Amino acid sequence: MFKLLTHPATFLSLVLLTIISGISVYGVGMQHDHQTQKHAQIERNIIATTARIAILKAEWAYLSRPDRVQQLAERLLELKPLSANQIITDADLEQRNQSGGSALANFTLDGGGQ
Amino acid sequence: MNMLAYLIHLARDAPQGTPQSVATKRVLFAQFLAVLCFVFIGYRVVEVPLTADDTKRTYAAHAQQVPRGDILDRNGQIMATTLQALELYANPKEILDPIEATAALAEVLTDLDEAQIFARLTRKSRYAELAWRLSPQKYNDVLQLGIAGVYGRSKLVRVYPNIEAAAHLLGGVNKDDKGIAGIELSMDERLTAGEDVMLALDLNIQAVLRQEIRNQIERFQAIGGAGLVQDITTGEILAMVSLPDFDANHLRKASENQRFNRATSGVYELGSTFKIFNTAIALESGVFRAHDVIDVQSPLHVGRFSIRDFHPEKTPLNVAEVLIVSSNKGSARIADRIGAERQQDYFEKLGFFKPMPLEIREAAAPLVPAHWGRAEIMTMSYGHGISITPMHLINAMATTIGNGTIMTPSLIKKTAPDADIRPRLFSPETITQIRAMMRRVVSHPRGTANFADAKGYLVAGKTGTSEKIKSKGYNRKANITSFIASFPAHDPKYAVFIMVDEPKGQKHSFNFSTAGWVAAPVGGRVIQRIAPMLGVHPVDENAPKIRQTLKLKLPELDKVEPSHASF
Repeated sequence: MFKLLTHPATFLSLVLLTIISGISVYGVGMQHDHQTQKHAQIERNIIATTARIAILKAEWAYLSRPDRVQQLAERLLELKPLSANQIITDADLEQRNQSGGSALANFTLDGGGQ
Repeated sequence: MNMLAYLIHLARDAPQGTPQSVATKRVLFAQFLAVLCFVFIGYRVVEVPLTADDTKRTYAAHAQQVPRGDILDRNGQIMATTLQALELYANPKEILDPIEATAALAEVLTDLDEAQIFARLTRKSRYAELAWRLSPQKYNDVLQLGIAGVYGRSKLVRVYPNIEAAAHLLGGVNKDDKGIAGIELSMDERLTAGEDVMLALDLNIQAVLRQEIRNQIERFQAIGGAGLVQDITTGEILAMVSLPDFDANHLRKASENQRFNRATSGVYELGSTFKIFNTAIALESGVFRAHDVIDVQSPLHVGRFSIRDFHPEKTPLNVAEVLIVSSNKGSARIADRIGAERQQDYFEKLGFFKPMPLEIREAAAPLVPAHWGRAEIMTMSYGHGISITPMHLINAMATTIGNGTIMTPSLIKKTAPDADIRPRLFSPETITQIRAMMRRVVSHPRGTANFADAKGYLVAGKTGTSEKIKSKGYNRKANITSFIASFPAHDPKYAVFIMVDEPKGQKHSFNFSTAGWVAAPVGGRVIQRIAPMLGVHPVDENAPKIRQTLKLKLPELDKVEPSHASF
């Protein structure tokens, strides 16, 4: 036992092993640091992107607010609020198919539609 | 011999044997120590990197707190959110050339003029705010200028993208991101924990309600208004308007009057809308039936009061007609027979004695008479001598025209049906009659809310006009006009409340400033616009099935003269 421990070959292989493990652990350590940095970078990116998404969402909410959409629809599409006589039901369509005429002709409601 | 004893022996005992053997032993000893050293070094080489203390590393992610949760409308549209914004400030002591810096900054900071920027850059302090919320783009532009002494720092700001929409309901936060009013205050705990809050409110309906009330305020030069839309099957409040309102992003700049939520904090004598409850109580308690005739011609004095009608009647009216033509005298006589005890009992169950149980703290307590005498009983039947909030009225109305069970309003979207069974207040028979009568308030020529009709949606409603209370008595020139409605009358799903405060008579209204001219038309327009959004289909009122549902066995109702009596 003692002989084996004090054998020069043991000594040399230990030195070699220490150097190899040192180098490899150093490499792993460096890689870990690198990955950690990358991770932090990704996390920062996520935060920045989340913040950007939040801004875009808020902007979308601001731009799609109903009073603005209404104004745009009135100005650019010449749309107006729906009136009751513009709405027909499935039953009205059936009636139209049976009579071969217009469903709206049989509709008794009047209103301010176009 | 074990190793330790041998080593001790090597170290302590005098060397024995030949010098050669002694030398060999010493070399071996040194060799052994070296091996030990390398074993230790090898161990540390592995151990140190693996057990390194990582907790001291701080990433931006860990440093950040959870951002405040969003407030959403019932469709998930953002009503309040928290954004990263950049604050731009200067340390005037570090600004080398304020004139040059001003010129450069004025190019980028378009919200401020040069004089303002110069004043800030030359302020005698170490801090001068230049911009509170700066977009990253603009911040970058400022950095490009390279002015020493101008700094930016990131901070969280609360943003309300819908500007004025439901500003009262949302409330606001202070500089520390703590809620100070509205939902921001009442739901502060949930929001602070990063949880989103989904309101019952529908932004589309909110926009319609606000726009229509606002237009009418302008047309009648009124000082303010309020409006509510409630889903009467769930109690959810779909829209809540109080005018004048304010930009929710600038709560601090709003005046007291703008911040006041008329829909939940304002208490008003809401006038003839109360006749709905008076009639319902009379029918439910069996004191009267719809066709019982009431004397509305002979003078009605009680104590020092004398109760009069806006349009004095020439013939007696039945209970239904009292509601349809809105007779004060008739209502007072009905209430007189109902009596204090029953009236109090029903009013209490309708919620008129307590603040509404709302998810916001801005909920005012009603003003009820201290003494419940005969005069009070009578005047309260037509909504005088009792002041409640619009929220009280719409909710009581939902109870009376809905399914008769006691309704509770909800500002938060309901995800599941209520677990509790709501106690019943009105029987289906009473409700059916109330629906038919309220439909005629709108559809009958003598009804007071003809202008509220929205073809196809069968509006059932009731107007209310009351003079505002002065320090002593009433102000005859200042009206509160209100309109409460439900649709469609044959199967009510939604309730709408409109109030216009102090409208002035106009040429186009023949100088009238009563509810039939001011509040009722708004109700009709709102219903016409929101019904399609709510998926309510227009129906033909003359369809036999609907006629049957809204039938009142009162032929005399069809013989009266048309008029636009508006009370």
